[in-house]
Amino acid sequence: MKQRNIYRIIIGALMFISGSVAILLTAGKGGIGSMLIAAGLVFLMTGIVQHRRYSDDPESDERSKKIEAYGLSYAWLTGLFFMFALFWLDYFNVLTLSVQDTLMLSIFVLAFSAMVFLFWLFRKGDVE
Amino acid sequence: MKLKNSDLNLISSVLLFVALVMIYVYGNETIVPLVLLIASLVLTITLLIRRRTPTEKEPESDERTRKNGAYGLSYSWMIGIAGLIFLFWAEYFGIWQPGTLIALGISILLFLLSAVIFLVYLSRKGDTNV
Repeated sequence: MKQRNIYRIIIGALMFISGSVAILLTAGKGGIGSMLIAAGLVFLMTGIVQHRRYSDDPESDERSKKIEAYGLSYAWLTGLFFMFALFWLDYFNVLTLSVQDTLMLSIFVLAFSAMVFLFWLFRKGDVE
Repeated sequence: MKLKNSDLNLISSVLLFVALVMIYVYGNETIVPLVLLIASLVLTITLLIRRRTPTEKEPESDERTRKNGAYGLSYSWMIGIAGLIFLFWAEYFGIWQPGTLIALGISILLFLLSAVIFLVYLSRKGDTNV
């Protein structure tokens, strides 16, 4: 097993346990516990899935790195346009959101568009 | 569509002019002039970078520069999303509570500035080897 995956699994398990403890101690109140559990689960799943899928083979090569770079740069553009739109909508009082909603939406658009572009480019196979 | 250097120059001058007029008329009331000024600054920097590379012999973009661009923007994406998450939690825990416009302005600036820095760095370095 690769060092990286071992670390992922250990960190994930630690975060999961401390999240559960936090939830038990605060009697279900507060977002910290559920946040830790969610993050820990993501780490755990990534570690296990990456190990099962690649075990000791290389995970990425020239082509996949290029695809990732292109996908993220498209997501960068999408996110920037989205934030510009939000900025002007807020400025002209067309759509006024709270700071938390705005930031949450922006993060969501950035991450989701990255996922969509990466999925699309990997299906397509290469960028020209 | 390919923007020529003279077009870029014109756009950045118009932006600068509008920004100055708005500062003169509205004074300190809005942050729109600031945004326009920054956009004009970014365009000027792009212009300066493009001026320095001779365009007559070399094409403006090829496989290598496009790859640099993609890598630069993807690094900037990572910086930007980390910054957004940081802002979100700072707001959530009440460490710093900016208004919506300020928060968005900071995020946009973060995206643009980090992209410019990474692009300049990568184009000076010549190639990305990951």
